[in-house]
Amino acid sequence: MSEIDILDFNVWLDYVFTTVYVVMLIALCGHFVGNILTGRLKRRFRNWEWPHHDGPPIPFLPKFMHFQHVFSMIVLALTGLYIRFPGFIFGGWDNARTFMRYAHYVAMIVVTINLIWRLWYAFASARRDYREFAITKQDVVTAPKVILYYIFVKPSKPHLGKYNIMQKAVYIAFAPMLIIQAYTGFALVTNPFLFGESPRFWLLGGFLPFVESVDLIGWYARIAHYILNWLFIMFTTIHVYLSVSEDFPAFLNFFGLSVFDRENTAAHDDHGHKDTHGVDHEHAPSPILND
Amino acid sequence: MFSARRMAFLIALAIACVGFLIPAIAVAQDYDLNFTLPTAGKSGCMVCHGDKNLGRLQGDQFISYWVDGRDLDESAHAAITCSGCHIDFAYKSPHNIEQTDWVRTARLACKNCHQDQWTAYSLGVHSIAVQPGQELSEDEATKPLCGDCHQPSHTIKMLTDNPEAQAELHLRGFEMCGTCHPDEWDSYSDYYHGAAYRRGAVDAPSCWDCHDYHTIQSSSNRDSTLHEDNLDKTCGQDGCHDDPNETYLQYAGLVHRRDEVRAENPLYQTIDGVKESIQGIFGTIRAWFT
Ligand code: HEC
Ligand code: HEC
Ligand code: HEC
Ligand code: HEC
Ligand code: HEC
Ligand code: HEM
Repeated sequence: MSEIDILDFNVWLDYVFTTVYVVMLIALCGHFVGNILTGRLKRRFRNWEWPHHDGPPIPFLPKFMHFQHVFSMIVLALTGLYIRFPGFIFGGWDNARTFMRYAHYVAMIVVTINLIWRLWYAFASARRDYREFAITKQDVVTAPKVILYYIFVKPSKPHLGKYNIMQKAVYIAFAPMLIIQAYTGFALVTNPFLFGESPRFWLLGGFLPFVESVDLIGWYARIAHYILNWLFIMFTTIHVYLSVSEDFPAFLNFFGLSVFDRENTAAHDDHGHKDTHGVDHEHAPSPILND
Repeated sequence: MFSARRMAFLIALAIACVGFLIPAIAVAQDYDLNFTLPTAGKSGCMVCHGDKNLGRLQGDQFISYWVDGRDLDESAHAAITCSGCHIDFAYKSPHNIEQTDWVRTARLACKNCHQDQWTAYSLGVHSIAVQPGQELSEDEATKPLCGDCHQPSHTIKMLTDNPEAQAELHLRGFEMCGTCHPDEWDSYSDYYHGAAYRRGAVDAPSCWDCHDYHTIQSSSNRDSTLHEDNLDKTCGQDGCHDDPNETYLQYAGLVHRRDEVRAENPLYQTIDGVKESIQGIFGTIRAWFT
């Protein structure tokens, strides 16, 4: 990239992603209107008809992990954006960036621990629930129907397992995204505290003979980190919207707010079969169903 | 409390009272003083300048000539007499300040004691080339003297081994350079340097971290810290970019250019256009109701 390109590219990223994000919000509003027009909203929030879940309640630990993960991710997104756009919140606060940096540093360690924990939980713990996320052939075959359900063409969607294909795809994507985000994130730390070199130096291969400039690769790491930042923000926004609009009781339950759950008697979906769609647990879903 | 300054004031006052008649110093009244103050210290000046009411009316504006002695006592120049900087002022009152460019004189008097800095300054783009007796051209007159950058003049702090004063100075980019270079101040808003610096980030570079301070050169000059041959050293300063290569260093050219690039971005222009039309619509609606 020539010198102007990289700046141009960064400017493009800013505007493309803010535009896409706004368009996405408008689309979600449109979807919400669709919920009203098709009566889905009324059935759910007035008649309190939600997907039915069986199995024991979700234990405390995954709930807690998810809760603080959500919190840390929000902190990361806000403080990260502040580092890029100093003053976009708390504008007048002198030297807020130093504070934002440290907040980002704390949250990034928390999230990295969560990530390791979640990978362990999925693959190595007693409950290893990774199979719940595996996309099956059935999933692929029925994928169009799931999409048709979301765009209001079909009144119901096929029910195959705990998550539908779109959920699975997103939750699977979260794992490598977060791994890359953590990797590129640590590669932005330039304090030389690891054996006299910075994490950037080690992660970006400063010790390799053919690496000309760690600083230059750092630019690209930063760009990757920034792009992923927007993907996280977009996915998470959709995730929150759908978990509230598709399965509000599960959402409340996950944040320990089940007291607000109006009684969940015989609450089956209009289409009759059990549908656990919308049990949106992201990185820390309930493993219990599989036990 | 009897501060040293007040003691000095009283002693000086007493000395002055013995020898001379002291007429009342009244605001808005021309000084009809005509006496020479005794002493070779600050106290002589402070006889008058220690008085908070000392000043003049210029038109209907009150110009204060009061000097807070504590400022100087806490500054790097506590040990220096007033006339060390105000070299055109004799201990004679009244001063004929209309007749001399006393501010410029004082702001340049620094060179008598700080010869190294004077030499460094003389090598840079801000140096003033005037022979004695020659008139200053308009261009020359707009260049900064020592005292233009080192403000406020009476509270210049020790910088050597004084991180606090250095930190304070670090944030003064606007006062120090921005007042004369408003375009570059505005354009210094790139992602990781300027935007942060202008929000008071302690770790973002000030103008002079890149441009140097006394020997500032145009970036096209081979001696400039920002000439392409010297970028590796300038960008590679401690705590900055310790492993740059040539491609990386080209980005130096972007430091002052984000707003320019942004203004050229078609998406930005579109968004800006949409924003303006929305604002226009709301403006029209508002106009109906007012
Ligand atoms: C380090 C050099 C320096 C010393 C020492 C110094 N001055 Fe000044 N003073 C200046 C400069 C330069 C100005 C011009 C205005 C400016 O730059 O703020 C000034 C301005 C003034 C003014 C004009 C009003 C004002 O505050 O701007 C007065 C009065 C004054 N000085 C009195 C004194 C007296 C009395 C002393 C000794 C107690 C003294 N100065 C010591 C540099 C100095
Ligand atoms: C364009 C603004 C500017 C001008 C003009 C200027 N200085 Fe400075 N000076 C600075 C800055 C900025 C620093 C502090 C640099 C740092 O330590 O980061 C400084 C530092 C100093 C120091 C501290 C010691 C050192 O060299 O670091 C002295 C003494 C000094 N200046 C004297 C002078 C004198 C005398 C003149 C006039 C010949 C002068 N300055 C003109 C900006 C200026
Ligand atoms: C009569 C001599 C004299 C004059 C005139 C003078 N200074 Fe100084 N300056 C000193 C001395 C002495 C020190 C203290 C040096 C020390 O203690 O190491 C000093 C210290 C400083 C320092 C701090 C240096 C450091 O190493 O941190 C700065 C900045 C400074 N002077 C700027 C100025 C400026 C600007 C002017 C003109 C407005 C000026 N000085 C006029 C004698 C002078
Ligand atoms: C009192 C006004 C004034 C202040 C303060 C001032 N400058 Fe300047 N500066 C000028 C003038 C006037 C010129 C033009 C000199 C020339 O063209 O010969 C100039 C020239 C320059 C140039 C070269 C410009 C070119 O086009 O080649 C640079 C770089 C520069 N200044 C940087 C700074 C920095 C950095 C500071 C603060 C530390 C600063 N200036 C403070 C007035 C000022
Ligand atoms: C990160 C380093 C950096 C900082 C900090 C910085 N500049 Fe620059 N500046 C540059 C570079 C590189 C150039 C030359 C390329 C260009 O023109 O964009 C430049 C160009 C300039 C020029 C044009 C003259 C020349 O030398 O080409 C002026 C004037 C200037 N800067 C003033 C300022 C002022 C005032 C500030 C503080 C508000 C400032 N700069 C902060 C890097 C910097
Ligand atoms: C997972 C572990 C993460 C780590 C280790 C990490 C680390 C970092 C570091 C070290 C920086 C540079 C800070 C500085 O300049 O001082 C940074 C910047 C940033 N981070 Fe993260 N981060 C992580 C996750 C996230 C997440 C999840 C988001 C958003 C959802 C995010 C958004 C950002 C943004 C927007 C920036 C600014 C990038 C730029 O300036 O272009 N980060 N991160």
